[in-house]
Amino acid sequence: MKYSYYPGCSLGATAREYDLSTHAVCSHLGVELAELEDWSCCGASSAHSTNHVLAGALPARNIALAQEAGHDLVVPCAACYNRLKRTDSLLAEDPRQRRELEELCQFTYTGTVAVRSLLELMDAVGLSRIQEAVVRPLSGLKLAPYYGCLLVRPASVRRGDNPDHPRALDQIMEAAGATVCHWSYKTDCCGGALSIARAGIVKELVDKILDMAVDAGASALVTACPLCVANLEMRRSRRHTLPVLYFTELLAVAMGLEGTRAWFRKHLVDPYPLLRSLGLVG
Amino acid sequence: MYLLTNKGQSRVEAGFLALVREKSGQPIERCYQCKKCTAGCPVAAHVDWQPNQVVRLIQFGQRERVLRSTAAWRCLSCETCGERCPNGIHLSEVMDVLRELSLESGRPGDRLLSQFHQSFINTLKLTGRQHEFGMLFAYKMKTLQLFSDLDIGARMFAKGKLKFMPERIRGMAGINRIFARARRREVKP
Repeated sequence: MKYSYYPGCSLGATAREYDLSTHAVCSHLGVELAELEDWSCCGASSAHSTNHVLAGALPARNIALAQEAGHDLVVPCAACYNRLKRTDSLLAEDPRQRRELEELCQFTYTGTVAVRSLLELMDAVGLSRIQEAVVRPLSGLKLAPYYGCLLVRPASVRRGDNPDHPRALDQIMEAAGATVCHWSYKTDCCGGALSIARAGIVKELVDKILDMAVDAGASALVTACPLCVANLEMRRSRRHTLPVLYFTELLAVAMGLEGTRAWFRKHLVDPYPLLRSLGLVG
Repeated sequence: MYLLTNKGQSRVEAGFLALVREKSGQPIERCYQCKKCTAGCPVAAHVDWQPNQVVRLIQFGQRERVLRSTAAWRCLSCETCGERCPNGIHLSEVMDVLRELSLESGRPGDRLLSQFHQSFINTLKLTGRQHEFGMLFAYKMKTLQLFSDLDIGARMFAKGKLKFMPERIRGMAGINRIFARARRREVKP
């Protein structure tokens, strides 16, 4: 399986370990990811917060590039995925917007290239294929699967999964042998968009999410969003010690892949001691 | 036309509802104040007007109050409200319109947040990609928030998570065209 890969700005910087673990896991599963040639920033929350032209055109430029490359576009960052997917839906469903974006980004939309999140890519790979690749099941690891907001809302960005009780991430982690906790905060927003400018508000939201995960009996959070990881690590009260991991990092551990220790060191809250205490890493 | 409240009278701008409705594409007039949006909003406790109140103020043409409110800028765009609204109103689309209008009015309701988003946009405009280090520097200079988060920044830098140099894409002509259009705002919402 070959896909175009849109890393987005975070995966080259604050979410480096997400990028590295995504490549390691995908290549192990036989998925080829080719970085989208000359991709540009999707504009994230700042584009749609300040200017509606930027909100549509910045993602559309990348959709145009993906169309040229000819493969479905895999987007690991939840924020980039949300913006690209919404723009793709707009291009498919709104003829007036489509004409304007086509003219501005100088392309003709064909709708032949799908925008996929990493969770959707795993869905295409199949749980049984993932399970076959597991050599070191994550036994004893109790995880709170945390989706956040951007992967499940609005309806145009999700496929099939229940908006309040999504299961995709739960199933992947179960396939890797972990125990998944049931909790009610899996799709609550962590406040990432306010993280820099209004840290005080965000700290309350982050602490609430971590409190609830602890209540549910989790020893770590697992997620597929680089903004959630940065925010949940940065904006917590000192009393919290719960690590936050990318699901790809845990898949890599379960698949016995090399190099995980270096990724863990990049976290502000190092998950290594927990995984080591469970005998999951050497 | 004026609206009389216990805080005095305020002018009703008759076209405001129609304007926000048209720009956002959301059926704002359908709201019957069930408050599901506010009940689920993560930041409802941190804004001057709660989500359902913002809708009511728009219905009553309270342009000034709405545009000077902190509500739109602190909205997380998490879509919890839009998912639950029984009348199919996606409030985050409405909040986008309010933020844009408040920037045009020159008096955004939360200056730190409006400066953050503008620093983000101005940084990506230069090279086509986001450069956190440059963006944060620009934001801090503009808002004089010089000493916040220096410890976290230093740790991120030590872990190789903040790049010092920006990456510039080759297709800057396309990015420049998009920004030129954005300045003129020819594309209707």
